Amino acid sequence: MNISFWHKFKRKRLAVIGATVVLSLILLSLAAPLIAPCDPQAQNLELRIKPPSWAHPLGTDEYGRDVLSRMLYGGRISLSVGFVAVGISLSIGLFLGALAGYFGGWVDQVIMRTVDVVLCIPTLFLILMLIVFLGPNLLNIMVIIGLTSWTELSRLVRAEFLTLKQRDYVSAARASGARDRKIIFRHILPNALAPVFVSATFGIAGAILIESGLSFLGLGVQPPVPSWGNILTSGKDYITQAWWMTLSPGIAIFLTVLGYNLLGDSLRDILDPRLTVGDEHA
Amino acid sequence: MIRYILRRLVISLPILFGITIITFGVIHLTPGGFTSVHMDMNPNVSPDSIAKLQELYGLDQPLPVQYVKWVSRLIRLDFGRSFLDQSPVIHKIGQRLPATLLLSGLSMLFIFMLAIPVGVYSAMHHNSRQDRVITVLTFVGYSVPTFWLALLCMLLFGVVLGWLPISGIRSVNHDFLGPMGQFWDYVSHLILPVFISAFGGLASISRYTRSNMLEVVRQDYIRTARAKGLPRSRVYYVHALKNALLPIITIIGLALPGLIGGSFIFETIFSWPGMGRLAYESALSFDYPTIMGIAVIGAVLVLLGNILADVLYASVDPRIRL
Repeated sequence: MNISFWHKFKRKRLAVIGATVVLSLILLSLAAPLIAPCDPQAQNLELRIKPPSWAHPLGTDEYGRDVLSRMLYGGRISLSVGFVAVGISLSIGLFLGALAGYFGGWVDQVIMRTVDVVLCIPTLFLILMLIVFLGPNLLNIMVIIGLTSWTELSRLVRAEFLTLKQRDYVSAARASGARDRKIIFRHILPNALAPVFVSATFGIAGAILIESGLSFLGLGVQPPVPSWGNILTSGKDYITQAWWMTLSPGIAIFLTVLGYNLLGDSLRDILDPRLTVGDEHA
Repeated sequence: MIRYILRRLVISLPILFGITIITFGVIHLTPGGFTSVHMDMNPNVSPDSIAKLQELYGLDQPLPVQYVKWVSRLIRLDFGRSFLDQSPVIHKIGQRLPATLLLSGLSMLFIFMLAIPVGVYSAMHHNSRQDRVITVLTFVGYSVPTFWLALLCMLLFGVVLGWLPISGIRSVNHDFLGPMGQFWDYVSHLILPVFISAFGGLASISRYTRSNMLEVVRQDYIRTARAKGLPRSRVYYVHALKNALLPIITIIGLALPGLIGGSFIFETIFSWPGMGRLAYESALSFDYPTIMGIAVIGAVLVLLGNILADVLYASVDPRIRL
């Protein structure tokens, strides 16, 4: 992260928009206990399905719970699913990709053929199957999304390693007697991180979408714990009479995913000079 | 060509083997053993069907034996019987597969008919205002949660305007309609699901076409074509487009798992009687044999789709020799 990075970053309007959206959503959900007007699970049956008002800016749901508070707490779930799932897939993808790219030979064959196999099983079916067998709860969902989304990352890291390991500084490190582990983690990995960073940003968006989709179908985080997906599901049944119950979670998911996608795309443009050249010419 | 296809099929045997290993591994993940946890509590599972399941997977035997038994049944397309209605899983999937293929085939068609022209247009008007608008729209396109969009479309077109049916594949009175009426009945039930399931793909394929075009128009042969005085539109639409479209064939193969896997979300929302909704229903009722069958068949479909895409690619790109 040098000066020219920030300079380019600030000049890209979409990058700044993306970063602002992402940061404010993180801050809002971190601050949820401080700023939420109500307990997200407190029911008040006298206030069932009330439209937005000063006391409840986003209205109330079918149990009279404050939708704004549920949204803020639901944001914590979505974001933690995004970060933990991507953390898991990053660790697996980096490790296997590095091994495959660095050592080549049979190690590469075994790892890459495994990737081929995993890519064949439609990810969502695999996730569905794992959730059924392991049970739907927050931890399982984070782990399952992480375990099923590392394949592309490992291909990416492998490709980076294949080119980087030919560089002179790697030969120099090897000549000076550095061990494989040190060459992989200290010399090559830091230089392979740029595309990984980009892909992780997109990965967070993807994980948040998958979690909300699963919650929407009742296979995600289970009520009464709020998640954007399950707020949307409960709103679905009242969609003709209470638009506010489906509007806010939908917009929240959309903005979050949009934010990460914008950020990822701008990072790619900035970090990968090959693409920006194409955009300036032609 | 035939030799190439045969070789691809032979290479995919180990992948098929891997698929069965992974699915088989998943069964044994259940904490406390496969038949014990959920099934004792599940009213749909009789002791009889537990016994059948034990037999299907040979659960009392050592793991390798269990695996061999299961695979030897898979080869004969014996996926066991559903817990819900005791009918063979292969029949259940067979009933649902056509609806899924219809839906994903049509949305694939829709994606290519719309996304490719948009991508080309965007590349031709590179960095213009139209290009920027399209770029923003594609971002919106792949960031909108499609299940939410589906809900909004159902509300707008189904409830408020009342133009389109919002669920199922045909109306209750379908059998009493004339041939044209029946046809329109199918079409009107297809519009929303096809549009929604194509939505994410529209954004990514048009973006992909755009960047491919931009890549191709920088090549020397394009400059040559321009230099010999061909009009810009001819160079773009004939010379560049052909080459920019080649990699998209591979994308069909790559998009397949998403369309087949994603089908369970769209099919559930629209009550579409396809394989995805079957997967969802069996997931909710812990119908293990059906879920396993769907996972294996879904993976095999994807594998075949990838081979098909590669064969297509090889047959249109003269640079690839078989």
